[in-house]
Amino acid sequence: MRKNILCFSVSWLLFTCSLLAQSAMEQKITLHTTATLEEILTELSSTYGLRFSYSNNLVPLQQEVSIQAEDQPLKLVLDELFRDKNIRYTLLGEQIILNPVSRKENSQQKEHYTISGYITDAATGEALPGATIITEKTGASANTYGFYSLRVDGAPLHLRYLGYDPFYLRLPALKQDTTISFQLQPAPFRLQEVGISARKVTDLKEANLLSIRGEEMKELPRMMGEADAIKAIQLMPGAMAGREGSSDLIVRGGSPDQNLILLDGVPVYNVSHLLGTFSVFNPDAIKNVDLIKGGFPAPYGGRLSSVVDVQLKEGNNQRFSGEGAVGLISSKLLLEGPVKNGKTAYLIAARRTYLDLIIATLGALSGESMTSYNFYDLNAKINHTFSEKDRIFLSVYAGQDKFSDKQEFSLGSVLEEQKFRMQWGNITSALRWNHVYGPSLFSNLTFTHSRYSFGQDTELKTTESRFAEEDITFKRQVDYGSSIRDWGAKADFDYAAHPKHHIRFGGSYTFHHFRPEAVRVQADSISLTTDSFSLISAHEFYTYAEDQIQLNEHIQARVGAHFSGFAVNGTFYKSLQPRLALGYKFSDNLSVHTSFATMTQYLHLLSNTSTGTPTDIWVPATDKVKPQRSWQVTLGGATLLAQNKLELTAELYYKKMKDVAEFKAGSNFVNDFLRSGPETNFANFVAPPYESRISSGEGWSYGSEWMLRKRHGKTTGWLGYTLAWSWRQLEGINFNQKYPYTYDSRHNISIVINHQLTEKLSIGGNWVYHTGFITTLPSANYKAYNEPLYQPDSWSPSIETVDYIGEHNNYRMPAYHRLDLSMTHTKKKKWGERSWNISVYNAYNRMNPYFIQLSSPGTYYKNSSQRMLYKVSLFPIIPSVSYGFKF
Amino acid sequence: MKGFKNIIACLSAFSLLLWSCQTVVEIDLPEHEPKLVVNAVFNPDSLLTVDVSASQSAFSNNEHQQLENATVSLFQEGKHLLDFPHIGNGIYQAAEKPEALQQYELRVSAAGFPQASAITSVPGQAVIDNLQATVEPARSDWEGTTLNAFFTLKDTPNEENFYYLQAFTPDTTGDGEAFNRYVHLESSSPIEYEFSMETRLFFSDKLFNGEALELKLNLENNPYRTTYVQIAQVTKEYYQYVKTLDKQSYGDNLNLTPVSVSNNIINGMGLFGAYNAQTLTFKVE
Repeated sequence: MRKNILCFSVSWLLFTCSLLAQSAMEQKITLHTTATLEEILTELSSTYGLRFSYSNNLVPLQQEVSIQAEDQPLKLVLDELFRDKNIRYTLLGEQIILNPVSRKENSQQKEHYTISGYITDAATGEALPGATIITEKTGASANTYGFYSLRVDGAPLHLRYLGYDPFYLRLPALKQDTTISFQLQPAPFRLQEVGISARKVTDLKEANLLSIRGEEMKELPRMMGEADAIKAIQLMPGAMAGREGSSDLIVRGGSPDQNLILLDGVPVYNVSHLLGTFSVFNPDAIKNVDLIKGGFPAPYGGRLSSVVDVQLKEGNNQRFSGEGAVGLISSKLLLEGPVKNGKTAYLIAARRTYLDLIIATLGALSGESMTSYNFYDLNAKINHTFSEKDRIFLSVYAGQDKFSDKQEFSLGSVLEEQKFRMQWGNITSALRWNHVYGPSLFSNLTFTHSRYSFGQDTELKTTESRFAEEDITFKRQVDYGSSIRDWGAKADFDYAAHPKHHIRFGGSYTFHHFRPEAVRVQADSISLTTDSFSLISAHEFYTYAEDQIQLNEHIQARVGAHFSGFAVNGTFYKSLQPRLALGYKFSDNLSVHTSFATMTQYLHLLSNTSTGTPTDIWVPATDKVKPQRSWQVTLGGATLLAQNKLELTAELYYKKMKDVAEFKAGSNFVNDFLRSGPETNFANFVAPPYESRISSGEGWSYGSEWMLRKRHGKTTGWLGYTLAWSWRQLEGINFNQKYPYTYDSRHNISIVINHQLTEKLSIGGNWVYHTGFITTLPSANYKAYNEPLYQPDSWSPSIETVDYIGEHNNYRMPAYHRLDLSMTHTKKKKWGERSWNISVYNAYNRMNPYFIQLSSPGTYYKNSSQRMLYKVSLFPIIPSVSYGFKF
Repeated sequence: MKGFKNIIACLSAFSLLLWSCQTVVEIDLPEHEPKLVVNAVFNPDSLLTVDVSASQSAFSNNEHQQLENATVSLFQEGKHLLDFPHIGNGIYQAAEKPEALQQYELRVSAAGFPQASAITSVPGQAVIDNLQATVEPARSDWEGTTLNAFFTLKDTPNEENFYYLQAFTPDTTGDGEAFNRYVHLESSSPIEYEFSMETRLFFSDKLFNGEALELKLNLENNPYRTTYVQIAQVTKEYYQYVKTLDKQSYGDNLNLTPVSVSNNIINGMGLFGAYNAQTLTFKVE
């Protein structure tokens, strides 16, 4: 197939010419009339000083038209006026020239050709996933890699992307399929109340999807000076945080492990730094984050409740640039730039906390040796464009938290030395190859590696000095480890088969290595090793196909299937998961949609705590523990209000889950750790194989989510409301009866507002409210068994009372609400731009319940003979400041 | 605890900014319906004894109510063996001792309570060999010498086994009353105990299943005086009960998940378990 390739130079030419015309064409017009074209042109000339040039003999201006335009760009108004009138207009200087469309031109326009290529940022070369390219009759959006494919008939093209200047283009007559890449110009300052969004919420693909760009995320109030992707998502309807301050994500009543968190397409198993206080994603490196809560497209699978797709920047291929920030507890720096002729670009972003330095300073001031803690993360990416057809990307992420302590005790001639280390972290890497087979077929081949590990080791060394004799040394080392390592490959294809069909298909294979728990004790010559469940290898694969069909002007459907399999220990599980979605558009501004999706999850996350910790263990389904499964139906609607400035969406959902698993009561590593500190001996907490320590059962959740969002203009933000129920019924818990899930919360409200006061100053805030979580309180107490050794001259305490834990999750805690505020001042400098951000977390110092606890038996409060119930709060008002820079 | 420092400081190095705050919450819980509480741990060296009491409201700080009018019966393979006479304050005791490797069923009833029952099996004795005692020199001027006790514990392979250790030495009070004084022990090689109840240190065979484990204990007693080390093989119910009770007892500010204490009493609460102990004697001649 022959093609005429108009490369960057041509697109730039078109782009530049169009830019010159753009300002005049952006002039706002208000016009409400029904008249002949000639009368309307006269009115436009007199009201707005426009100059039209045309020949009365050639241009038929006596046709009557009706137009309703309120504060619309001139370009849109002219398009509307001349639609189907065989009249073409061109801006020449200050004149608008009108010409008849020639027969030849007309006949050519009736022929359809496909244009394809990439849509990128003009300033950085970054791909713009989701950017739309539309004509009057058809449209397409760029995929994750910025690639689009569109069948055109000569009608003008409109390109749009949130935060970028819209781009209008009338293509010259095409004679064959053509490759055209577009570069959009970032809007320098988003003060204009532009009422048209790139991705319209009324489109079917926007149903059950929430997205937030890196820049939007950084406008939100920050906790301890750190902008955070997961915390931004937690503010959206349908998604909420677990315990206060954690990076857990509870989506539509699912548990935190049921979220597939992808970093550039690679699963990340633990997204927490500092035991959940921050997520591992460096906000400067993030381009966009999508959260899919239901109606899952066929390419996604492997988790029950959501997909969090974190897309990082690829690297600026236009110029060297950088940005960074200095916060209260960490600093970060990002550098990016082209390597050669703009064909290769790199990005490197690093972040590190200086908590260890702060602690060391405190230790030095107090004269005490103190424990050390730090975390870091690093993103490195490089991409190369071989041709318009081939691009290759290599990305690596590494992050780790490290805690260590060293103690020395001297007792007479005996010196005891204790060393303790605990570390956990992820490493992910991906090698991607984008290939364009033709104007309609795009592929992405990815090789991935992901690893999460948690390790702890203690070393105890005792040395006894003896006169004239050799010292006696005793040494014992205990290592505990848990890890998961994946190697995978996947291929995804986008095929724009027909203007009414957009087909996606592909497959993936992952080789998992699990080491759920391994302990090694080394004491002098003795070595003991145990693997509670030794190394497990598993093979996971899936294949999928999906067709997005435009049935007619109003009805859109997405029909697909996801087939997956999992082989472990001689057992093979398979699952065919239908994915269906149907949308009906009443108009461009109003639509309804429904969806059905089933999902299967072959991994379980076992945790003894109700918030995510590094000691949580990822384990596979086995012949004894079944995979988790779910099905979910949704019904929703979306509309654009206030001249398309506001998006209103609503969703109803019902989700059923089977074979969800939880740890039975048992070891609680974190509690033991906090109690025993460096002396914690994890070998003591190793228990029988996890399969015998878990309870399995079912879960249900249902509810409704509402969101009113404004993404353009001086004031942006959203109002979200969720009404939800979530239940579990697990064997051996709550006497096998159903009970409310730990994060069941009836009402959830979030208000997020950011206002650009001036070009330099913006203020923002968010307020969240949710019904209190549910917790378990003892329902009785009784006498404990004990058998003390009789000691006539001393007394040793023994436990007298047992608290009986009856009904599970039997008490609802008080409501949670919080206000955060922020103010950002930005200033241009010779070298670039700097900004100061002041944030206040929990501005009115609400003492929210972190947990509820009954006082210990035998303790008395204000002489009461009753035991008391305490509410414990953790996060008071927390002000913070951070300094950011960009060049 | 030696060596335990301000770990919280690491988690909240921002301790200047964060703090936890406790406030009292008012709550209405449903009326509590009392249930039978049965506590009994059999061993072949002691008479069969059962403690019967009633449960009470979670908020109550009162002493537990002992039940003196209960009927306590022992069964084996469904056959009635005996009824326990009440000897006072809710304690029921028979004149017999249990036998090793036998399974017993306990049934307890009392007016106003649903009948409670439970089953347990008395384990066999642990297999011990190679006893040896040495003197541990004084570690400082103000400390005396102590006793090092060595022995081999042969664990039965392919089954879960649970043990406890405790040490004591014969002593007399000022009034001439003989008693066993508790001796502090440290099991430092190669394993440590997992948790304790009073003077008993519990551990399982999860790190040495089926192996012969050479244990070294340091006993804080005069090495030239007799020190007894009691090692018992215990039932899983007893081990689990002590383990979970220990965990529940130290639930503090970060204990987010309340620990449920293991309970094997059907229609009631408490523990029905067993152990089989043997006493090893150590003394440096």
